[in-house]
Amino acid sequence: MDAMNELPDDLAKALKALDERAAQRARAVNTGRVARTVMERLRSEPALEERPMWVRRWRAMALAAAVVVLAALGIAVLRTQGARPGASVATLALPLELDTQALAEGQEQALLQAVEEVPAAAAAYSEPSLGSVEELNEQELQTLLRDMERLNGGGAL
Amino acid sequence: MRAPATADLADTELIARYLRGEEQAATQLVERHAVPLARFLAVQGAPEAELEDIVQDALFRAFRSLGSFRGGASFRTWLLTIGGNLLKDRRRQWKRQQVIELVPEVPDPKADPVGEADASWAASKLEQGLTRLARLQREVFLLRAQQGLGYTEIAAALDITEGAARVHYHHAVKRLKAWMQ
Repeated sequence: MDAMNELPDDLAKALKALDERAAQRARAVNTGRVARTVMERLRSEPALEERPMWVRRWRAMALAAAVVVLAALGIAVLRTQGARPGASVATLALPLELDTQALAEGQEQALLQAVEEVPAAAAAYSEPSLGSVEELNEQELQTLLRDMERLNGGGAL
Repeated sequence: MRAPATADLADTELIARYLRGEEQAATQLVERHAVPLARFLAVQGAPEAELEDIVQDALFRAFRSLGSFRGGASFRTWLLTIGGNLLKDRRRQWKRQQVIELVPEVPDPKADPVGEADASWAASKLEQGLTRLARLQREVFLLRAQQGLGYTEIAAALDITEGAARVHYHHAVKRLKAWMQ
């Protein structure tokens, strides 16, 4: 361990003592058992499909876009129908189809969490309660139309 | 008794044989690197009860991702970095599950009360100090000071520049020196 000579004396001594302790702990590892377990796992657990980085990035971006679309859709529908207390986004018919089979566990969780957060976001929306589209003023109608256009654009996901 | 045919082969040859379907080559790699990996993880405070499990998981992941092993660093160094990442992930899980790690063993006062107790105190103090370093600082420090690797190999294994490796090492030493005082 030549690099240890570069260290200040007290640090080198401490590292030496720590390394000796670590070596003692490491000796308790049963290499035969480790080898058997590793080989069994390699045989029994199917290898995950290795995807190129650009595919993974594209999928992450697509997922993020889907979440935004879902959130916007949830808010837009709640705005047009009026936010009913306890209304759940799960009851809304979404014009989107996501290939959830293709999502990794973490991605699915992120998506579900985002969907769950939509009612909260809608509840936090500070606009007055709206009864119907007819009651919207010009600015609100424009906002709604923009939301709907964005949704149509994202429907290709 | 004759040693197995794979015993004297270089890691790169064993990897090539494993990729061709020779399981014995993988077993040889495990037997060669499991204990050094365990030692590297133990220095970073991996609990003894979890050590073997982390080692086997790191080796499994290494074999599973051999396709991404570019050979810029040795198989051992690459494996150590996989183990380091895994330990970091496990720490996060333990934190979430509120697992209380065992305090390092208290020195036996009967055996060399001054010398060994001092060494044990210093080891425990350093172990704590290492957990307080940023991951790259800790890994660069240990790969250099414990494993005796050069900056070029460390940089290749951690996918950083050689200059960055030197800077991380410098900061790690500075922080640990201050921590030990």
